[in-house]
Amino acid sequence: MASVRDYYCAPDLYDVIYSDISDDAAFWVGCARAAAGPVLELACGNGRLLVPCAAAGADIEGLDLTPAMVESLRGKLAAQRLRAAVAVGDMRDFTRPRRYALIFIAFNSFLHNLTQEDQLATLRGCRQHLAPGGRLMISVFHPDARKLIEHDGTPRVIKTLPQPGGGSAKVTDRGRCDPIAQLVQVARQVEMRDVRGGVTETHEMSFELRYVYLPEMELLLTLAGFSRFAVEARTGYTAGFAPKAALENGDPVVWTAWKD
Amino acid sequence: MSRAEAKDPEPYARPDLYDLLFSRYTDDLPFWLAAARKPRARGPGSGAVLDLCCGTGRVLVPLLEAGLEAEGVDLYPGMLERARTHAAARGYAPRLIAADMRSYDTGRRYDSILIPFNAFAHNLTTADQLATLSRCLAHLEPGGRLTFDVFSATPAMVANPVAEPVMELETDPEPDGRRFQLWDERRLDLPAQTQHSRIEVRELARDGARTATHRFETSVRWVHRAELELLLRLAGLARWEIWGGMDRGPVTADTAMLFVVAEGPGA
Repeated sequence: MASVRDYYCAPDLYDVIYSDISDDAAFWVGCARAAAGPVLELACGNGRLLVPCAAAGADIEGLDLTPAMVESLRGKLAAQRLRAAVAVGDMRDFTRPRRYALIFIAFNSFLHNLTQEDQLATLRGCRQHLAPGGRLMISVFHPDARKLIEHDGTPRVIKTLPQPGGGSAKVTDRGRCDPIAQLVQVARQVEMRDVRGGVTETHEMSFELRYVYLPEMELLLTLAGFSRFAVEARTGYTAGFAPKAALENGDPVVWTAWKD
Repeated sequence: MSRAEAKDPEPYARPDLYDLLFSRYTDDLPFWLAAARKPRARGPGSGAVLDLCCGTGRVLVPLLEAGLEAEGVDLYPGMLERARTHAAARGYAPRLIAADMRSYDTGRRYDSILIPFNAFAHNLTTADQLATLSRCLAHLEPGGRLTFDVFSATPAMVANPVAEPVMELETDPEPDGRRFQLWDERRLDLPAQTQHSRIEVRELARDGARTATHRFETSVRWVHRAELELLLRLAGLARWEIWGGMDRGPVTADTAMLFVVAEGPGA
């Protein structure tokens, strides 16, 4: 998973790329505040969700694979005078002394598990770290065949984000999909432009995801020892992240699995 | 299963039509015969074969003719009745049992269990799939093999579903000149990985005029390879191979049917 480390080694750039994504924060803050005990966020990154959870008074801890993201997160927490235990750690193989009322893996981070063994190791580790009655919650996208087919190596501009000072960040992805291994490889280019449209910086990065179908996730949770779970569709990350009655392809889904 | 909601019967309610449409299909027989004939496992295996969802005996009768001790299970007594007739016409009287693949118990074990021709896809839930696999495991001799094929929708099929009825096959004319066409109108339920089919069997006279229309409905659930591996693992199967066709080639982006051979523990 070297590409994951590369992708997440530039926290400031990560903040730029996902500056339009914030609709899921209120949902996770609500979950963290409602938890009847300590909360752990895996793959917490530099705290897009963890910081608002901590600011709302949740007893939250975080783990992330990338030291640069953890360092960036510590800076954000300190700037807001918030206290939260955050550390470098791999979701597939972590050990913490506490047992949690809620463990969550948000915003597709679970999809960085690229093999079945990685998926199961992550789920088993979570179950082990849950207090009795505790919940594991995971949000991932439901695969959309139309989008997967578009991952044919053609560069596609996925968004252009306005930047403070009048410039913009243009994000272009070249995706490849292996539908048998369920792997999506994305080569991403981020062009920073000044107020006149001149390119000031160009960044290249890549990452890989293994997408998961609904029945497959049920089987993974069952194999990891969970016997009770549920899934809920939500509107998109820039469309309110609200509950949705009928799941359509491409929607985010939130899985909840309870430790009995 | 959602079969209860179907307004028209399953195609298996008309074994005579089923035979008119499918009894001449032989392309897959070498694959099933080879799977049934696999060298006997270590231990006192019986050499016996179970054809699960044997229908009217399209595969079962050739297994008998190859000298194998073959038995059949099918959900539909009418299909089994026809299988009995076909087998008897060739001098065989196989044991045939009407039972659901999710709950069958024939009271004995087999060296080979086959679920040919996509019948496994009629398991419409994960629980149904696991129940079927675990019944199969319970019926395998140590080292015995379960072989089946199952629908796996490709991204292209899912991304661009065909809404109109499609003619799946047209039979060669019968001696009286009648021909039969199988039309299939499919609706995909993507989150449930289920394809609902409204089937029309059109009966045409020698001059091409339609003389009858028989309507059926059925549903199949497709599986993805990774999901299939988890199913096999959770059901307790120990080893497996998954191919992209009956030529035992690799699974590719165009694979619409997975071919599986799996073994239980203790081989």
